[in-house]
Amino acid sequence: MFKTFLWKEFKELKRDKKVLIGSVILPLIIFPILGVVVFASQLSTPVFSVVVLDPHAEPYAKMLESVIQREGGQVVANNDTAAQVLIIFPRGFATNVSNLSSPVTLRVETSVSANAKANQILDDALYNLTLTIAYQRINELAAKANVTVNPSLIWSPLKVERGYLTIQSKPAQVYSALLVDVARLVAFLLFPGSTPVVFSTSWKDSSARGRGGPWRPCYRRLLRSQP
Amino acid sequence: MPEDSFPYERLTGVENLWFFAMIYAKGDKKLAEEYLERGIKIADLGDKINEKASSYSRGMKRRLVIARTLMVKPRLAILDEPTSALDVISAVKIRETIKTFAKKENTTILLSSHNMLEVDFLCDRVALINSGQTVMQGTPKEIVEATQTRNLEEAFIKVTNLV
Repeated sequence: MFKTFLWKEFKELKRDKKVLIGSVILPLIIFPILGVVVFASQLSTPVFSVVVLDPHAEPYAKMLESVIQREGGQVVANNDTAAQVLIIFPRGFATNVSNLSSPVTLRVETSVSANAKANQILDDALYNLTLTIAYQRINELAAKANVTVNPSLIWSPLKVERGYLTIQSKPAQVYSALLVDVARLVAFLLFPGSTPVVFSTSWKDSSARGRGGPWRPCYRRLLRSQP
Repeated sequence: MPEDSFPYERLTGVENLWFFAMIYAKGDKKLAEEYLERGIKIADLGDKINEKASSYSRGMKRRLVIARTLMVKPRLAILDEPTSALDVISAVKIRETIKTFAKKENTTILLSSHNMLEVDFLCDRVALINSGQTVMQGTPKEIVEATQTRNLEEAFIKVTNLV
């Protein structure tokens, strides 16, 4: 019996050009194109340009450039139009690093065509620069106070010790939490897959029985409530 | 057979009949082939039986649906307005099919229709129903005689006091 239904559905599907195009041919065309586009965007090397207006900020610029290059970015000269991200060290940058009561300003101009990889590299580079400046300030403060300080313990003082509990509030192993994550992922993947089927089934069912649709009972109730 | 039942448009006439034959035969291919052979005869669509149902006229579709109902030789077949919305030739063909099949296979057919001429032609016994109530029953001849009218149409109007 099941085979008969399968045979009939397959025959109908095979002869339905719209379904064939939508479910077989279109994905065959779209997925490779999407793949090429995504792959190409990942492959292209983001180009950065670093402009130093404060001669004393040169070490910071060098550090920033080395992070960019290490992360896979390319650093070009200031006048190169290929640059997607322009980083400017303004005048007084180095002075402001030592001035604890004021922020250190850095100007960043990003092209609207810059890809996600360029933004990722920029974030990493800026994080490294922030860390360097913060450590330098902490060391300067420590020297003034004449105390020994580990800058990393001030920058990141919180140490979190993780533990897991079962639903019955008993201690659980780490793999239990991993298992729950996997279950969540499976549920997440299955949800959009099953929803159209459930929707389609209930829709067809109700329309066949009521010659209307799922909204029909509500509509009737609404009509009845009219004076 | 419901009034508005249609075959699967993307299947051919034979495939439509085969699908239902296999369901009725519960997978028994030999029995299904027997049903199919009878179905093709009842449908009487000629070479068109191998074409997709989407290319059929309304009358041909109805004949195919009737064939798929009757091919299994049911003890009781319920046909709801089998000739509604059909052209004259298609309606005549379908009536002939039903009448011949019922006589030949000795099958009981319960038929509902608003067409009293069709009822007179096809039915051995008639129940006149008005607003869900059976108002009179008997053979067409008995009803016409009892109501002293010329045909079932007039008899129906008389017993229901509609005009």
